[in-house]
Amino acid sequence: MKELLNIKNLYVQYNTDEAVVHAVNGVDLIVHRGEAMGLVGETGAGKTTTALGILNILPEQVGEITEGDIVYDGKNVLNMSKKELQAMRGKQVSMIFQDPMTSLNPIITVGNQIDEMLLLHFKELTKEQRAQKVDDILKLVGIPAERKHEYPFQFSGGMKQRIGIAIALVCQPDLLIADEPTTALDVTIQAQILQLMKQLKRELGTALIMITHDLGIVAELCDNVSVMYAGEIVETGTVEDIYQRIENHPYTTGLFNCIPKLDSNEKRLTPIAGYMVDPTDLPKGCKFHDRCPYVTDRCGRENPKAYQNGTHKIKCFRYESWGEGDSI
Amino acid sequence: MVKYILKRLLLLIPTFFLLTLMVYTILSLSPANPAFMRLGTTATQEQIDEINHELGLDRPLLVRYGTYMWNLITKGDMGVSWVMQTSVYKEFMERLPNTLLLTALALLLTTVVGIVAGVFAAVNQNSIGDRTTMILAMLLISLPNFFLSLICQIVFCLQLRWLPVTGAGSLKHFILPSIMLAASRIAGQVRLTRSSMLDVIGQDYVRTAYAKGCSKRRVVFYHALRNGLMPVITNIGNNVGNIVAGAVTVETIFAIPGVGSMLVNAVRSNDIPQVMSPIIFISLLVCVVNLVVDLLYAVIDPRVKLQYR
Ligand SMILES: Nc1ncnc2c1ncn2[C@@H]1O[C@H](COP(=O)(O)OP(=O)(O)O)[C@@H](O)[C@H]1O
Ligand SMILES: [Mg+2]
Repeated sequence: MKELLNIKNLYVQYNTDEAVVHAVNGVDLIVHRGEAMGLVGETGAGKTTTALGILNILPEQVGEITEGDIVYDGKNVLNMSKKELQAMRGKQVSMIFQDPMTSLNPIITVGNQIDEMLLLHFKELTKEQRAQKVDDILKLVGIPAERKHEYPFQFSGGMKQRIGIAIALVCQPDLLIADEPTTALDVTIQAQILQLMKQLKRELGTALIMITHDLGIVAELCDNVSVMYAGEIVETGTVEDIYQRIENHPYTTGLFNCIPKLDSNEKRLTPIAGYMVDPTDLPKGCKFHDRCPYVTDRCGRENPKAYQNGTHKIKCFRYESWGEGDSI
Repeated sequence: MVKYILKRLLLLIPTFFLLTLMVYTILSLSPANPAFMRLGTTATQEQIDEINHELGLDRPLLVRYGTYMWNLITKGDMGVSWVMQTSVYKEFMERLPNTLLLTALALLLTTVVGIVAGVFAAVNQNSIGDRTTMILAMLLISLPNFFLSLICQIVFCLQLRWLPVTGAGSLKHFILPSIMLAASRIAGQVRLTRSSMLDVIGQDYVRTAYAKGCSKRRVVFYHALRNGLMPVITNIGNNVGNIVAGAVTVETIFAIPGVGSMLVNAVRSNDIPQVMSPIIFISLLVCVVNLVVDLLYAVIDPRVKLQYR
């Protein structure tokens, strides 16, 4: 498969009035055409920030990329002109945002919000052709086309999320970034949305970055997984590599232990001890060391490199015997 | 929507009567007495009673109010000035155009300059342009209106001789007064527009617009502006009340024969019938403008429009 997106050694920080938030700290991530990559981690791990970086839409004056490159289809996003960026956003890479309640413009009809994508990226289409496409995409996400004249406040949260999905998909992008597209939804709608994304991936061959903290969703949808902690990817591999649960980063193991299992006799879940590190004051060494059950002296002094075994890479000294691999 | 407008117009009627009744009651509590004004302090009790009877002042308050309103609505009669014994209505109508022109110009200035500068400052947040705009606004807010007016009169009228100092003969006479009347309100409008736009620019749906591939221009004018103007429009309603009230001072400083200066003169001479008419005008204007603002809101915001379908 051809490489579509290559993030190299990305560092992003937010310069707020109170402090500097180190949100992304040296991320390497490769996504191929048609591949579905799961990006997993707790809230605050830097998943959304990484996604916003790909589109180069970090909040102006606050969000800052201090190091690294984001290469999309052979071109560095960080060096693109305004025109090139505008042509890429929405058309080649589009994004479904985390919060459907606030991500749609409250005073523009949903039909017009979908239509805007076509207006921006398919200038050759006539009004009628665009209207037809809007109807089609609404039907695809399960919303009656007649409702395109309504405003976001007239829809439920689940429906708004589907409208967000319709907006992201109407131009048939090569890469879709879905930022926790189901977190705000109840389980039945969640299942429908996942079904929909699976179908898209199969039928349109869209590459996908699926951001979530739900390992179940990843298993269902993705080919590969990257686990993120405190702005670093600590483990990456195929779904099989990671879900075998034989060799994992201690943080990934912790995440697995948080999933309730009906078939086990264990009565209690085992949450990961301690709290997520403070991104304004990152610890030396491995960021996870003060929560890790396998911590050694070395973990507090030195940040482990990525050790590689085939497709599987882990940033933890316990896997040093695998030998150093490409950074993640 | 039509139903809603009708409902609002109907509601205006009781509001108007309640308002005028309150004003009428408060004014009738004033110790001013037309008999003393005409006859001097040496008047005898019989003479006073006679004049009070002639003017109908010996009748109960509600009857007097009822008569006043009846005459006003059916005949456009606002009574007779206690001091000059001329028709209040005639003087009011002579002065009204000046005040309307002055306040309309000031409102236009406030709204246009306020919104344009506010949007500019927000879109270029923290730039030199933004900082300059904000400092100017701060200055305008903190300088008292009458002081600024006097300085400008000295500089532009007396020194440079660009504009006439006082009076209301031509449109030229209204340039400086309307700018002075608008000055401090422009400042408020700029600051409000800026903060409202900044708030909208930080919203998720603006980020969505960028993610769709919109240019900055399209984001500002298509996605952000209408949302950002909503609180600003409410403020335009408040501004009208403020500007009309401010006209009282400005008309006095620039010696413009308007409704505002009529009010000042009348209050000074305790001429109650003369006081009544400008106050009725101002309050009615504020009511109507607020209605217009609410309707504008419904036009811009579908959430409001659908609520009143
Ligand atoms: N606009 C912002 N200003 C300051 N800090 C931010 C901003 N957005 C995110 N952060 C911080 O950056 C870190 C990473 O956030 P985010 O990328 O949203 O994580 P995730 O999506 O994994 O939950 C968090 O600590 C968060 O508080
Ligand atoms: Mg997030």
